[in-house]
Amino acid sequence: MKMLIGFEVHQQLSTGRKMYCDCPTNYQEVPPNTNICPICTGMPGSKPLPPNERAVDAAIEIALMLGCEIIADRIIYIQRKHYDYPDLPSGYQRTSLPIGLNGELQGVRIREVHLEEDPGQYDPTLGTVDFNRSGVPLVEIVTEPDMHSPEEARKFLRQLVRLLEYSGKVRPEAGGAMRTDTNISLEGGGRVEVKNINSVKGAYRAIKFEIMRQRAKLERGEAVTRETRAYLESQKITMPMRLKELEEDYRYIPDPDIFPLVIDQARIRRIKASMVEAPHLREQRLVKQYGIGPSVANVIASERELANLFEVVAREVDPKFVATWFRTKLKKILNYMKLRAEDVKFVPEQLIDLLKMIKSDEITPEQGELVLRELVKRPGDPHELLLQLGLVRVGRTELQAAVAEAIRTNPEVVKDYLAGKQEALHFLVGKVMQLTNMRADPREIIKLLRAELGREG
Amino acid sequence: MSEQRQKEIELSAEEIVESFVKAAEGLPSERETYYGHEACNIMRPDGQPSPDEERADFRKQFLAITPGVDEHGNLRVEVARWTR
Amino acid sequence: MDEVTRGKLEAIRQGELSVVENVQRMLERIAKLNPKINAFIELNPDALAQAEAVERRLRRGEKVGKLAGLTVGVKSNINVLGLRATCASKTLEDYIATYDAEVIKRVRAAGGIIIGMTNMDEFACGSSGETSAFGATDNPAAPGHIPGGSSSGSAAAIAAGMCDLCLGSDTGGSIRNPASHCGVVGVKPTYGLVPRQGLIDLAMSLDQIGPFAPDVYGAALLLEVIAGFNPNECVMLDAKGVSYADELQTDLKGMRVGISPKFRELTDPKIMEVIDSAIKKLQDLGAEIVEVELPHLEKGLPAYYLIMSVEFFSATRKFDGRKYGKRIEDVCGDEVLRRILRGRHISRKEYRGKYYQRALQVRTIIREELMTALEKVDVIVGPTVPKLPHKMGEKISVSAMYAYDYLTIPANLAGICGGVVKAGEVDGIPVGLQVQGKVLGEEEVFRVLRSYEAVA
Ligand SMILES: [Zn+2]
Repeated sequence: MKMLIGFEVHQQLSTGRKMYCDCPTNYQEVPPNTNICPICTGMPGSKPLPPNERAVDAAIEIALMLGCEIIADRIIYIQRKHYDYPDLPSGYQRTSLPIGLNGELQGVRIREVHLEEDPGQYDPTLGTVDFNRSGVPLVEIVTEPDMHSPEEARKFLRQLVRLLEYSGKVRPEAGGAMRTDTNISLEGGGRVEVKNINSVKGAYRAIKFEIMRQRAKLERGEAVTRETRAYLESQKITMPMRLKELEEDYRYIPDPDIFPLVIDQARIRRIKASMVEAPHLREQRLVKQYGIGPSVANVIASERELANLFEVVAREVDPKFVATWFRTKLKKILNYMKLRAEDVKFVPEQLIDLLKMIKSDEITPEQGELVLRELVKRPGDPHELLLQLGLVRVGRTELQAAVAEAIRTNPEVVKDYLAGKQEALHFLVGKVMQLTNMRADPREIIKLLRAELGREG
Repeated sequence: MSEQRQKEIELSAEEIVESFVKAAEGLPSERETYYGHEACNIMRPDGQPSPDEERADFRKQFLAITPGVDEHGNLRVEVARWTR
Repeated sequence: MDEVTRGKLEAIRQGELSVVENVQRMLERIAKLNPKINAFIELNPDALAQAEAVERRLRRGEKVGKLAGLTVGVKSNINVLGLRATCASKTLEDYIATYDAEVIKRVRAAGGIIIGMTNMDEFACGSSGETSAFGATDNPAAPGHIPGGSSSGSAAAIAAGMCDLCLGSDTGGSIRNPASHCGVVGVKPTYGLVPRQGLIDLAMSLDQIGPFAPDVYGAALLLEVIAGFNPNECVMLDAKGVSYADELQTDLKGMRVGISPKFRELTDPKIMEVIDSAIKKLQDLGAEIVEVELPHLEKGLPAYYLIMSVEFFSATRKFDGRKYGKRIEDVCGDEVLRRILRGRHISRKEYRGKYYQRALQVRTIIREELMTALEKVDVIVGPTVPKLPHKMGEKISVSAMYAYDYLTIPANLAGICGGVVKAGEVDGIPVGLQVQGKVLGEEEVFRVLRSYEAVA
C-alpha cells in the first residue's frame, strides 16, 4: 500500500538570550517561572525587543545547509499567529514568513524553513504553566510528504538531527528540544497529522501505529478522515484532538511591534563563508576525496569533530589506513568511554604520530590500540605513553627466553600442539604475551614458537 | 453576556465596515502600509542574559498578581478538557 | 497667555515653592475637585515621599532633572510600577503594574513626581471619556459636557489644575481631541519618537504617548523628557537628544502654513469661524498661508476603524484571565467588545484582502497625500474636532461618536506629528487649533503653537 509521510520539525536554536527579550534560555535548569520578564509573560504594555540576530543568522545557515534558496532582498514579516492556549502568554505566537524554500536532504524535499518562538510549558493534566521556555527561538523545517515507510522516515529524521547538530546552531538535544509534527496518509485515505512527538523514536512509533490504525480502517472498508491527532508517549498510541483545531483561523498579521527582515546578499555571503559543510555532503566528499568506503565515511561523518579530526590526520597518513583506525578503534574507544569527538583533548599531531608508528611497524597494532586508549584518557606524546605503559618492544633475546619459558612450563599444551591442535598455539602465544607484558608482536611470537617446536603449521 | 447584546454589538460593528467599502470604491490599488514608519532589519545581538536579581524581582511581582500558583511557582490554569 | 509651567519651575528652583508643598496643594485640589470631575482613578501613595527626595536633592544643590518638582498625571494605560494600570476597564481593575514604562523611567529620572493615574475611555476605545468602567469624566472648561477622549482624565486634570503635566496616548486623536474640548495644550508626537514600551496597546502601529500641559512650554518640556531612541524597542525612530522647550519662538516669519478646503467641508461652521480668526492671527505673525489639497482625507476614518480594530483584536488576546485580570470579553464594555468583534471578523482569512489589507492600502493613499502636502508647507493648520462636545449622558450613535475623529485620524495613519492649542470658544466651549507637522517636525509645530499662545 502506498503511503506518504512528511514532517514539520521544530528545533530550538542555541542562543544566550531569548528571541524577543533578554531572559536566559536554560529553561530546564531552573525552577518554574524563573527565566521570565514582562515581555515573555505577556504583561500588559510590554513590547518585544528587536529580534535576536544570532537566531536569525542560525535559521539562514540551517536553510543553506538544507540546500534551500534563501529569500533574499524581499520583505520577510514576523507574523502573529493567533490562537488561545494556556502556554501562549499573548494569545499569539510569532512566526516568520519563510526564510528558505525548496531545499533537499537525502531525497526528501524541504518545503520551507522559518523562525518561530517557543511557547511556555503547559501540563494539560495538572493545569499548570511554566513560562521559562516562552520565547526561546526555534527554527521550523517543513518537508514535502516524500517518505514512504516508517524506516525511511526514521532515517530522514536521523539525518536531519545529524545535520542540525553539525550546524552547531541548535540547543543540544535534550528533553523536548526537538519536536515534530508528522503527517501520514495511505492511498485511499485522508491526511492525518500527528502532534506532540518529542523524539526520533517517538516519531517512528507514532508512524507505525498510525499506519496500522489507518490500514485496519481501510481494510474494514471504513474511511480515514482528515484529522489531527496527538501522540501519547506513555501508551505509544495516537488520540484524536479537538475538531476545532483543524478549523482554526490563525488570522495572521505582521507584528506591528517588529520591523520585517530583509536578507541581503552580503549577509548570505558572510554566513556562507563561515558555515559548516552539511554532513550528507561531507560524507559524499570523504568517499570521493579519500577513496574510502561509504560505510566508513558514514561513521566518520557521524560527528562533525570526528570528521574534522579525520581530515587533518588524513593529510599526513594514508587515508584508508586512518579511516580503518577511526572506524574500528577510535570510534570504539570513544563509544566505550561515552565520549563525543568534540570532547577529546589530544591534538591531531599526537594521533598522527601514533598512526605513523603503527604504519611503519615501529609498534604493533595491539600496542597502538593500548596507546590510543591512553591517548584518549591522558593526552600526551605517543612515544612517552608507550614508555609509561611499559610497552617498548622486548628485545630478541628476552623474547626467545619468554618463548622457551612458555614451552617449558606448559608441556601438555605443547603436546596438544604437536598433535595438530591449532588452539594450543594461540594459548602459547597468549602466555608469551603475558610474560612480556604485552610488549611483543604476536606475529613474531608465532614465528619463534613454530621454529622452536619444529612444526610448520 | 446576553446573546441579544452580542448580536446588537456585532451588527453595529459592521456599519463602519460597510461605509469603508463604499469609501474605498474607485480608489486605486496600492501597497499596504503596515507600520507608522518603515524600516527593516532592526535586530539586537545575542549576549549575556538579564541579571538574575532583576528577574527575581519580577518573578515576585508576577506570582503576586496571578490568580493561582502551585508550590513550585507554576501558574495554575485550567486542566485541558481532552485529558478527561 | 500665562506660561504657568515656566513660572512654577522657576518658583521651585528659587525655593519660593517647595516640591512637597506643590504636591500637597495638588493633592488638596484633587481631593476637592475630583469627586465631581473624576479625572483621577488612583493616586500615588508615594508621591509625597518622592517629593521629599527631589526636594532634598534640590536643596543640596544636586543635579535635578528638567521636571524637578512638577507633578505628572499618567493615563491609566501606562505602566507605573506598583500602581494599577487598569485601562479604565474591569478587565484590569486589579492589575498592579509589574514594571515602569520607559516614559515613566524618563519622567522619574527628570525629577517628575507621578501623582496618580488618570481616567480614560476603556482601553482608549472612545472619543468622549464616557466608556470608563470607573465612570465618565466631566469637562472642567465646559462643565456638563464631555471632555473628549480617550485621554479624558489627563486633559481634564490639566484643565482643572489638578496637576502640572499629564501623559496621554493618541491612536486616532486621543490626546488632541480632549485637549481641544478642554482648552489645554496636547501633542501627539511623530510615530516612533516616544518609546511605547509599557503602553498598553490600542493599535500598535498608530499609538503614541504624548504630553498634556496648561501651556506650550510645559508640553515641549515633557515631550523632550520622554522622547528619543530606546534600544529596547524595535519600532522606533533613531532620534536622539531632541530639545524643544528652549527654542520656542514667538514669530512665524518665513513659515509656510498649509490650510485645506477639506477642513471646512467636514467641520461645524461655528468652529470654523474660530479657526479662521486663528489662522488670520498666524498670518499677522508672519506666516505665509498656502492652500493644500487633501482630497481623500475623510476616507481615513473608516480605514482607521478597520485597521485599529484588527490590531486591537490582536492586542487583547493576552487578556485571557489566566495570568492576571479577567477575560476581556467577559467584562468589557460595549465599545471595546465592538472593536474586538469587528477585528476578529475582518481579519478572517477570507476577508483579509477585502477589508484589512484594503484599509492598509487606503492608509497608503492618505499618508502619501499628507506627505505631498507637507512638502509644500512646514505645517498644516485647521480644526481639531469637527463638532462641539455633546452633553454628558446624551446618547449618540456609534457613527456619530466615530465622527469626532475625522480630523485627527489622518496624522496617525501617516505617522506625522500634531499639536493642539486653544484657539477660542464657541458658546463658552473651548475649540482647539490643530497644527500638524512633518515626520519629526515637532519643532515647527511647537513654534506655531507657542506663537499663537503668546498672542491669544
Ligand atoms: Zn523574558
